[in-house]
Amino acid sequence: MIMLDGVCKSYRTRAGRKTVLDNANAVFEAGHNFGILGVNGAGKSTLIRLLAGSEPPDRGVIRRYGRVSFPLGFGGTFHGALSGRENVTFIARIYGARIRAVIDYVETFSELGDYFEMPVNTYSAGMRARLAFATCLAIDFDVYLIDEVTEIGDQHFRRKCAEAFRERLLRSDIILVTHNAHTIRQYCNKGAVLANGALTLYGDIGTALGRYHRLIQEHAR
Amino acid sequence: MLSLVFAVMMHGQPPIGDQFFIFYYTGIIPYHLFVHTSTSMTYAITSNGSLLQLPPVGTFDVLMARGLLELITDALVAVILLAGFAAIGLGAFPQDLTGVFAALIVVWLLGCGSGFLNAVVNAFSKSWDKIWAQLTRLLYFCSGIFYVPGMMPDWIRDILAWNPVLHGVDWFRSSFFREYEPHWLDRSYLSAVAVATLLVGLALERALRRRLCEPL
Repeated sequence: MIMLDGVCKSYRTRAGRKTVLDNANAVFEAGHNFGILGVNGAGKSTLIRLLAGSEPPDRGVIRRYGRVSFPLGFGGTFHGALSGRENVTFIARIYGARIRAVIDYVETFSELGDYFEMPVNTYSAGMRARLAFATCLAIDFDVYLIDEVTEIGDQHFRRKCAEAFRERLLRSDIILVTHNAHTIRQYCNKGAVLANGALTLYGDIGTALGRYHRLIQEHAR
Repeated sequence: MLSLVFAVMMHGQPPIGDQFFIFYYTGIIPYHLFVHTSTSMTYAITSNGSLLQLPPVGTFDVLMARGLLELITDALVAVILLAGFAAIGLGAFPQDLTGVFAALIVVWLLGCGSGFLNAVVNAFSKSWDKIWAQLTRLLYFCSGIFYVPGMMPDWIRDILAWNPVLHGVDWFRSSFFREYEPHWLDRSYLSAVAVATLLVGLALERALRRRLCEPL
């Protein structure tokens, strides 16, 4: 479970201050999977980083109950000069997981082959995502935070990920950012919409998607 | 290279000891430790963006890790080079090991304090790292590396003695060469400045932590 209590977050851009959250209160309950929707630039990635704790809020408190994953996204948390194996060892170590078991799992699941021993710099975007997914799955988190990466990789790897997550969802929850209505319906049972500094949670996905589509139309106008 | 020039200029006769290289190098060790630590900590936050994405890793961790890395690297380099000097027949073994280590630790703490301050200042003013680079260059001439402050007129030495790194160099040397005991050396001054810098640096890092990792 993750609780937001009076959370404010904004950051500077060339065009002035950009507000992501303005005094947001929300509870991501345990036992539910949330899909977060929002138009481009609403601050969904920032929200995921806030939930993970990668970035501190300007004001307010974010409480996390249980182990929350690092944000699984394009940004990548890997050190480019280190090999896949070294990166995974480091992450397993800082999360206090069993290093041997994590490495074995990642090596098999990511199917990187010889690249597992190569610097992450030499990876393609897809290979990085595979490494990140495998690492995240190898460590037992209670909440997985995923930032628009479910569409990455080939069909085979996507199916494998979907299966692994379905199994993991029996014990853990997902908070997912995506544009893809299909992905949201596949994984989530609750929705949330981030717009104009407000985060609104919806009991079902249909309502959230409806609000999201209205937002897109407004945005286009 | 520089030490060769100085060696010729001073007719091969250093102010302390009998090898100019050793004399020069005993000044370089503490100076480098301070400069490397404080400078590399300046960049610790900006160059570790992806590492800081991992929630268990905070700004304090990356800063301290940089500091420790410089301590270990410089200590290893010093040991290897001194061993190298000894191997080619230049006597280079510190006469008071404890004192040498104490001097280095205090200089390192001063470097860490300055490093924390640098990291904070650099987050707010983009060009601070350039200014700091110039300051450390100035420090090279003010820290008694290729001379001893005793060679200076008293009034210049009194001004130079405000520089804590100079005390670090002289502390290191006075432990390295037992016959060298400068009367202006004030170990407690250096220690006090190091502790004060560290306190202010840590306090600022803690107070402004939320704004340090904000991408500008």
